[in-house]
Amino acid sequence: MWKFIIRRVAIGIFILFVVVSTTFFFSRIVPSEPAQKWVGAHATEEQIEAAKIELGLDKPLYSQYIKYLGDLLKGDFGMSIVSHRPVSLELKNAIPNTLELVILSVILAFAIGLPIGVYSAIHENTIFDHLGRFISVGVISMPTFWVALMLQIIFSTKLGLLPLTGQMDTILKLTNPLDKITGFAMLDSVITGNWRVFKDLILHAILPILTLMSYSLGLTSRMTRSILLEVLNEDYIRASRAYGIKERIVIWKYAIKNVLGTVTTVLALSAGYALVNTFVIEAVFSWPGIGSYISRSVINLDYPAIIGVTLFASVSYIILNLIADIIVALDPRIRFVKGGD
Amino acid sequence: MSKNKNIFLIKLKRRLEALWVFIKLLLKNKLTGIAFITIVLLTVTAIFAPWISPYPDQGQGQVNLEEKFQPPSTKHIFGTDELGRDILSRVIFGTRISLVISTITIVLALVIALPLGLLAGYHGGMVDEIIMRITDVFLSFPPLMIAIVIASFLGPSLTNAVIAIAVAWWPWYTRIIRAQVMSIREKPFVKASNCIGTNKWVILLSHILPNTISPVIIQASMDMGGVILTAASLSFIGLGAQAPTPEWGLIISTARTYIIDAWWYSAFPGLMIFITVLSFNLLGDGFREVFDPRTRVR
Repeated sequence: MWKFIIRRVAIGIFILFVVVSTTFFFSRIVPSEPAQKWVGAHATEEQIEAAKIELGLDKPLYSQYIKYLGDLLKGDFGMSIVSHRPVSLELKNAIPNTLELVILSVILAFAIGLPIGVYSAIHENTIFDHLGRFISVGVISMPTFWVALMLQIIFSTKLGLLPLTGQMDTILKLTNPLDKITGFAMLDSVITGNWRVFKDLILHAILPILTLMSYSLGLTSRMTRSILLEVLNEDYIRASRAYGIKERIVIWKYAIKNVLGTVTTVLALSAGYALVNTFVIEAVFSWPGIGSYISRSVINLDYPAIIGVTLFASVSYIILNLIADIIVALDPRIRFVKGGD
Repeated sequence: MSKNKNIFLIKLKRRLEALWVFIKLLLKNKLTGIAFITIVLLTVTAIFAPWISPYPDQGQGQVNLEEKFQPPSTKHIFGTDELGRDILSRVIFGTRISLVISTITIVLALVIALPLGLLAGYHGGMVDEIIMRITDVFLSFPPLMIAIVIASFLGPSLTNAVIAIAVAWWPWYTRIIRAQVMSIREKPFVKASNCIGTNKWVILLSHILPNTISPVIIQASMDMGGVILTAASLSFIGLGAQAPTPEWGLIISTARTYIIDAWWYSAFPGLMIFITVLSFNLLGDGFREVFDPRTRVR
């Protein structure tokens, strides 16, 4: 077991190294004139030369690479070419906002998707099952950015129930300022007992969460349904039914255990997809997370920022994969052969 | 000569019969049938876009400022945009772009994947190990993320978006081709061919290659929906098609600015993406059901 985990961690580190190196070399091959951007559009030749020296672009590629790796180990992602602020600082402000959305949407998707999947499987081939299957395919076929816009149109511009964009009301921000403790706005507002802000934060988060949730919800309910159908065909289920155990207990106590493992794996992966989807939808909601940050950086070709977000997303994704693998490995039915994996 | 021709005809007839059986199996499921018809209709729309769309000039970008922001009506079923262009016409021309770029993307991904998969599966050893570790790195991330990162390095254009998505997608095909090659390599007919001293390349190209094609084509058709979505997402964040191309994602991206005044502007193009992707996904599900005997029984 431990050997397996260590091996997976080693593979993760290797993958991360490949990502770090390729993004670095990519950013140097592409003709983007970072020095030019650093000093602005109306700079003189001398200013550009000076900027090149300041950014270390005058040095040979391999020494730039070594310095880059060293800086990364220290948690230094370099300076944003556009804002002239450290990328690590900007990421530190943005990451909690994105994680808040991702975590809440995945939890909700699990809480809603699992019962739907179970119900679908029990009532196989009924209208509800067909409808459920159709919806779960439908939900993963919708472009997330479109879902975001449609939710905005319905709940915000037409019904006026929820705010259109942003994370928090601007006036409320001035009247009830939020103390920064963890960086997670919702958590902070609970800790400090700032309930008005908490309520406002929730209202702002509903639409982005619904948008992110849709994909994971479809995936979870589909997975739950198909696995439960397989499990319900197994002998031990038939045996417990033959003993006269109540159907509810058969499903929620005996069958569900063999479903949860795979579904949690799917959940870990769908958290990864939700993270990537924030790249697309945060800009729609003007949500101050890494998604908005990368959209802005992409337009300005701000490479340190793009690399910073890429590395964060890669690390999260590798960790999520690792969690998924470990959950699978925890299944006692999978025994580890000595010497192999 | 005529005997050869006869054999060819018989073979062709057999192929067509097999295809017919396959289509009949596929269409047994009503949803799959509807999806199949929708895709045929979409393809027809794409091919005959200039004749089908009510305002072909506007579909290709001609401005008509007198009629801007018209809500849906009989004259403009999907309404008009900020430059007075008929959105239905734009969306119809968009069908062309989406279907064409997703096909090119998948073909490009296959062009990368095919030699690598054949090499890895047939050669084995160190070459196999290296190719597989590279695919491992790619498969560790969602394709959309890889595509965004690559497209942002290459710069915003439709061509670069196609390249970026193809680069994100090839590892999946390489894996399938490799697995297929490895199983066919061990078949008696290949061994026999080997024994009589057939050239390695002849074996690879004329015996193994044709047998790897069908699972790849099935996978590719199931991926069409995902590729269309990815391309639209890239265009939406500004990394794909550029104005005035009537690309669906780009249209919605522009529509975002006018969301308060013109709901139809983003609603209909998105609906079109949804219908297209849904049809491809349902068809893919249908394929899977036909090929997976476990689900066929159910």
